[in-house]
Amino acid sequence: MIARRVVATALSTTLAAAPAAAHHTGVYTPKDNAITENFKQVKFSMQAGKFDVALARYDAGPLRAEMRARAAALPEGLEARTRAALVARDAAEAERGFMIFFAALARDLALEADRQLAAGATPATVGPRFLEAIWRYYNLADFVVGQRDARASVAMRLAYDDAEALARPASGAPDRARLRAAFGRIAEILRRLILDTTTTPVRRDS
Amino acid sequence: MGRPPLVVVFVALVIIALGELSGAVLSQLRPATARWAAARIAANPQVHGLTGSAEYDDTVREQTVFATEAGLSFFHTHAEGTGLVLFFAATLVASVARRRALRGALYTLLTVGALFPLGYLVYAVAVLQLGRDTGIELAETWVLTPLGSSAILGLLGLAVVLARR
Amino acid sequence: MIPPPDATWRLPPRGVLLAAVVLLVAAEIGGASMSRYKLELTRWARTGMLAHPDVHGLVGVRDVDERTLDEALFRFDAGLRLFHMHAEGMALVVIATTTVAATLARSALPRRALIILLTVGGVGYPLGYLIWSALIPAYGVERSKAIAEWLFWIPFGGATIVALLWLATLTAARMVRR
Repeated sequence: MIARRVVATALSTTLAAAPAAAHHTGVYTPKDNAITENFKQVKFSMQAGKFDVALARYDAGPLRAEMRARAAALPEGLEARTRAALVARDAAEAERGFMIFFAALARDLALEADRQLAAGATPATVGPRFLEAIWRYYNLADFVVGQRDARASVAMRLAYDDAEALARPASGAPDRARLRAAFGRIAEILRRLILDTTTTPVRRDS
Repeated sequence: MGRPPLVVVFVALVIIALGELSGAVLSQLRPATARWAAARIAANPQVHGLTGSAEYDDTVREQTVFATEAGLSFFHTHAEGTGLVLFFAATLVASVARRRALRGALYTLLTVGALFPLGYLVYAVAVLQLGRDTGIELAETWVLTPLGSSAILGLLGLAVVLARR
Repeated sequence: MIPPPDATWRLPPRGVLLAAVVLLVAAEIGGASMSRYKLELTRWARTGMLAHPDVHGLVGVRDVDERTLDEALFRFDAGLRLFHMHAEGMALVVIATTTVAATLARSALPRRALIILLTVGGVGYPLGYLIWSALIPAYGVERSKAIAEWLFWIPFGGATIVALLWLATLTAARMVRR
């Protein structure tokens, strides 16, 4: 009886403690979601000069649906202006619309991360996951951001790198207050970017 | 069912056992294997084109470690398979091939062919010591092609014997 | 060196062959189910994961959680696939190796021990992948992997490896004695 208990205790301690990082069970490659996949279809069609295809994909796809669903959080009339740009075969203007949309998605994620950290969520879990999601969207807009506002592009990259270092420190747990501040900076950079690119025409920093 | 010679059975068992062991190494000793591979890469920087730039070298290192793990994984799956192929094919030879010389020839071809997965082990080590392209060439030229050809010839010979009965 | 044509294999006990065949059937059914019931299985796993948000670190934001869920579902699918592959293979390993043990191990005790180790190890090991997949929704990827590792892969895999090495040694000894 005692021997059984000892074995059971040892077993449950082992199961609780032992990591199973070793077992080789395949490599996961992250996939696009429906929105990013639809965006790539529209973008590549535009780049190939096939605006009718881009418009068809846009009209029928989840990208437009999402832009409409989030209209309250986006600059007024963004979806309509972006569609009008596709109809007018104006690639630059359509790209600007999509850039603002993905910047807004990333901004909202940064704000949500800050909110959850303030509510007591575990920084080690929440931090890296939100950063991954932010980059997944911002990455789609980064090139266009760089063309229109190089300073914002650099600021965003620096803010993101800082946040990553805070979310995954070399030792110990992430600092909640500093991580919150990092997400706050990201949200602010993106907020300014959206404001500037919505109200001002294209500018290229020389 | 006829029984093949003990040496054939022994080779089949050893190949299967090595396949199982490599599976265990792949899972339980994966971190240690990756560390050892990284050390071998660091010991042969010219062969792998390491530049001293952390970002570039990290990518090269990751790809090469992955290639080593892939070689080990291929060895695991193929060794399990060729061990069984040898066992069952040799049993068929023992059961259907009447002439002693023919049985001997088929046993030899099949047994040598069953060692084919060792080519993937050679590849896994060679890629670390000699670089990816040279490692592949070495494994293909000296192990995979000759041993694989032996397995194919042995199985073709068995098929001919079966067709003639 | 080449045995006369009348040297034959002695089959292992019927129960061993039955266990191997049942494992093969399970492997085939598993493989068929993975395609026929792919949607149902994915839905079941996803529902289970959503019912245990803390286990999977879900934060309640679609854009963040979809990646976490996607990766966990990838592992769930991988476990089923690995069960299918390993069950197919280990069933054949059990048949082949227990046949060798039944033929070459002269004494009853080592013969029985080898056959038991090979059968139990061979049948038990692939079940670890099935258990891993089944536990992912409730316990998470890493914790369920640890459970499968310590309860199935290590003991049953270890039994098979030990028995194979023993059998290979026995075969070598028989070769040398001849």
